[in-house]
Amino acid sequence: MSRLFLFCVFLLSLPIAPCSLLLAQPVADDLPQITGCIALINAKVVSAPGKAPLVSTVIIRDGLITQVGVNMKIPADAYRIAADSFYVYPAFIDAFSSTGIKEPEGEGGQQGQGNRGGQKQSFDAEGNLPLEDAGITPYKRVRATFDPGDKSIADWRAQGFAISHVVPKGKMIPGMGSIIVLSGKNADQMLWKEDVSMYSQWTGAGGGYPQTVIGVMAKWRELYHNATLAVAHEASYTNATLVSRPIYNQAHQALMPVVKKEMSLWFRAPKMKDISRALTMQSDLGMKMVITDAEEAWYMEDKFKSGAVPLVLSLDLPEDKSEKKAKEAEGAKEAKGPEGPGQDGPGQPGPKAVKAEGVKEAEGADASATSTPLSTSTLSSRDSTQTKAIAVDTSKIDPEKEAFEKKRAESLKAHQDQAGILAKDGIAFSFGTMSVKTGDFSKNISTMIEHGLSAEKALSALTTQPARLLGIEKYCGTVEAGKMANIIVSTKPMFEKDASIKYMIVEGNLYEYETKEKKDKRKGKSDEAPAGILTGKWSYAIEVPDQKREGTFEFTSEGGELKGTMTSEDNASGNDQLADIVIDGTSVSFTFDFDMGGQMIQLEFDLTLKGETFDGTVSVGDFGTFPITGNRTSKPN
Amino acid sequence: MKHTLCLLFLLSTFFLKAQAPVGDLIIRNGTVLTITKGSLDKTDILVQKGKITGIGKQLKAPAGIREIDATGQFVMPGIIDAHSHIAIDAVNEATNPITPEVKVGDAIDPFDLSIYRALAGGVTTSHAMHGSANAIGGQCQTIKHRYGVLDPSAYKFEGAARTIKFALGENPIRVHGEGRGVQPRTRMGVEHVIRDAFEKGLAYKEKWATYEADKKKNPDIAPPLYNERYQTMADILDGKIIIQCHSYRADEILMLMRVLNDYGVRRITFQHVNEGFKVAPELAAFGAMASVFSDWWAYKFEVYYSTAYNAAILTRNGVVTSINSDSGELIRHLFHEAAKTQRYGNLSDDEALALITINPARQLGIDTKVGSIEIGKDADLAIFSAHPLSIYAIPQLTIVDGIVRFDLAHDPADMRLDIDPEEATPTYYGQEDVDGCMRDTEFMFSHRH
Repeated sequence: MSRLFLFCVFLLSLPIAPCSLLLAQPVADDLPQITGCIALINAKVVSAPGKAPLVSTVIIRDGLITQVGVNMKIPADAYRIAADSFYVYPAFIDAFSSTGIKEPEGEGGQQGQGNRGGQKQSFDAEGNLPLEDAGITPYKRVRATFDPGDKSIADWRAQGFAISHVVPKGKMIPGMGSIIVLSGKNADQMLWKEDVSMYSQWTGAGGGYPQTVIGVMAKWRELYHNATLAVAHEASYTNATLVSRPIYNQAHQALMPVVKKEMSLWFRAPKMKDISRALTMQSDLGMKMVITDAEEAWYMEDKFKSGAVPLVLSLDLPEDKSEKKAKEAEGAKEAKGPEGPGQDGPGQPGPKAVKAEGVKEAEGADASATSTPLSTSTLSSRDSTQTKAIAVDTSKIDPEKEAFEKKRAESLKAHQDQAGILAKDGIAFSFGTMSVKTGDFSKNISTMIEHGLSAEKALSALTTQPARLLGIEKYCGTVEAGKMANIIVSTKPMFEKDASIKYMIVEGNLYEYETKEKKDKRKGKSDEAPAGILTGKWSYAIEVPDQKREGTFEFTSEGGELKGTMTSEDNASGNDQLADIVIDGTSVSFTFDFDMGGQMIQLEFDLTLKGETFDGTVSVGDFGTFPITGNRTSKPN
Repeated sequence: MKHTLCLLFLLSTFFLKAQAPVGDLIIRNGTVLTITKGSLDKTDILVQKGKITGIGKQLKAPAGIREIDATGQFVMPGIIDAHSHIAIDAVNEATNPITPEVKVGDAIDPFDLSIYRALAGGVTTSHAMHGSANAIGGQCQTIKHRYGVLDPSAYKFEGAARTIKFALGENPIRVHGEGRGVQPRTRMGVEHVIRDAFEKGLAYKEKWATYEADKKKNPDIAPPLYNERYQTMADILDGKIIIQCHSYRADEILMLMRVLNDYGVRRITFQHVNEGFKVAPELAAFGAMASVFSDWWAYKFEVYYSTAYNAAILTRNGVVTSINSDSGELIRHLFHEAAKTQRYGNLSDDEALALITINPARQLGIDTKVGSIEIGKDADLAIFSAHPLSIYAIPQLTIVDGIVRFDLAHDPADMRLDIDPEEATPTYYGQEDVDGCMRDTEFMFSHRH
């Protein structure tokens, strides 16, 4: 929506009544609020994680919560929201994300794709790349690549987030993180606290040193050592005489706050080995560290018990592939049976993990030293249960495959159980959205809650925990007088099925959302959403950095079932069929699989139809999410 | 500050120690091949807290200890592989002709199934090496095969010597000269790159020595830049690290010994060293050691000429020699590889077995801890159904620090520890490159060979 259009609406409505304008346009994306005061009247307020909902009125003025209580006088200039049917929560704080961050120019993103193949990199006499090419840019700031208009900001706000700790994109040391407020007109308004953290990951330079994890580790040791020397030199230069002027390497200088322990190093460590290597580095070098974007932290639960190294869990979860398959099979032979594996129910403790289980028992056995072979004992006992389970089934099943499938299901469950188990064991953690798609956020939280995470802990990992971790608990994380007015107004208790966000208030700015009763997204056939708005031919353009990818879609509806094809010059693989086409109101989503040099990549399209045009996003595997636009070129026959 | 550092250090060592689990057991009535002290019939071995505490007939054992009946079986020290690339996630940091600062010990992969496979071949310790892409590669890591333990750092062999990979000949030339258009492009270039690195190491040492001396006069003096790469070269010059040099040809072996002589460096094991038999007396005189394949050569031009008598000739010339695998497959039957020296060279049983036990232990600086069955040594043991040099021998049990890590009687089909939750059926695991030494260098070449 163009600013001009919004501005016209603003002008037209102005003479009538400011209040009605707000009613008409409470969510004007770019406009200032007409009044700085909002009253959420008689809402069920959950002021902090673990607090019971209390019917109260919340008064917000100039970006702050000024009053929370009952029977209070509503200020005359307040924009009144009769909230008696709504629940009010503190808005979420994202502990680790890339919200609003653009890809740095001329780079292959953070996966460390080399820019070899053509252009020659420049090496110095020692064979080293310039810092920039080596991915060693601790001096980089969020501001340089922050786009206040980036779609991800509104997307995450719509999911309940008001504050986000964002980091730049890059390789080994992409730069420093900043805390942003997910509302505002420009970077100055949105960047709240800059340079609060240092961000690093095990990502090599691609085509140059450091290429591998061993290179990254060696480089870290050297950088840290030199930054330590630089700190000492600086102190001498300040305090003593006859000391030559320090001439800092840009990277060493930027790392000085880390050496001085004034800044934590946030190490992105999704897998078990990533975590363990980061922890080793921490104990060798001694910096303050936060392990972030962790997907497999349960393996090393003990190392987080003391809280010396805070933990930020990824909100991403592995996909349940078997369920998909199972459902396809179900559709074929019309079977029932609900979920799939891992439906033991949230209450059951269950084994912690395939690995944790195997090893914990095994090590226990080691200590007693009376055991039979190490992991074989536990594994073989599992083997026998497997055989029993299989014996029930028939001869058609491949027992080896079944055994694999069972192990895989256990591993999936371990990932889904992670948050619940860590919470039960008293390990404090926050959540970060870095690796999760907006669309998967609430689904994944629900999965974790089904797997034993309490709603209270889920809420604290999204509010008070990250607030404490980021040192902003004075300002954010609860609904209390004096706090920043970051509030979720929900139709039902948070995380409950069918709960949806009616309003978001971010630093006093009000955003309203349409809350339809959730319809079942049915594949293809949908009575409510007529296929006619989609069928026909469309041209599209995807904006990949530095280039446009163009092509056409064609959608048809046969007997209520939607089908679609995609034609593009880029697509050399045989497949042109779109899959999982779903229309929901004016939102359309579908996927497309193609073969990129032997690697299967799935494109996920999320489009919003606007009559004869559409816009939206395409996410391309691990490569990122790109904007797409298009328009209709022919009507259906 | 210093105190906290000290304390941290103490705590971390304690932590490490606590991480490596140890066990108690007694092996009854086996034929014990001690390697260093002959063979003992119908002998028991008592293991307590991971150490061998008794060797003898009908030993008294503490109540409740696990008893393993080895009647009719052979007990030997756990096999040691002096050259492998298993259990590490990165083999080559192939982006510079010299990368002495990188350590494969930073990339230990506790989930590598090859560890379990090695155990199934009686191998309890291996030398996880950096690859041969660079003239001076990274530091290697001697590991114990504690498969099942998840903490990567718990695999490190406590107290093993520091070792570092050097590489001569075609590999560094191919990766850097041909692949990246930098020195070395020839064998002359390889020599120069190594000499240059030593020179820089010397200069670096001197710079810091000067700084330390000046600092005594003026504590505020500006420090020089720290350089992990040249610091490592300085450590080699100071004799703190054993060089492990990938080499084939006699001329390049002599070349490196001359270079080392010029810099006063004595500690070296030549790896592969397929033409070692030509320069065996020179190797012995230098004090260099050798780790060879039993009978593998002609897989590229520079290794066209060799002999299966290599190990025997080196041994007879007094060179401490080992036979290695350099492969996740060959590592499972190193006892076969050792046995070949009896067919080619008539080595005695003890000499042949020394090639895969005490000799590699010497090369890795762990011979006081493992490599033979002696009281006080680590209880790293392998039990075979027959004499391990017999083609009919089958490994039965493999023990690391007194813990049974492989048991043929309980050998499940699926020993994976790390399962990808999105992958229903695992693809083939443990794919072996023909040349494991060159792993992680593929990106250097636009077309494969």
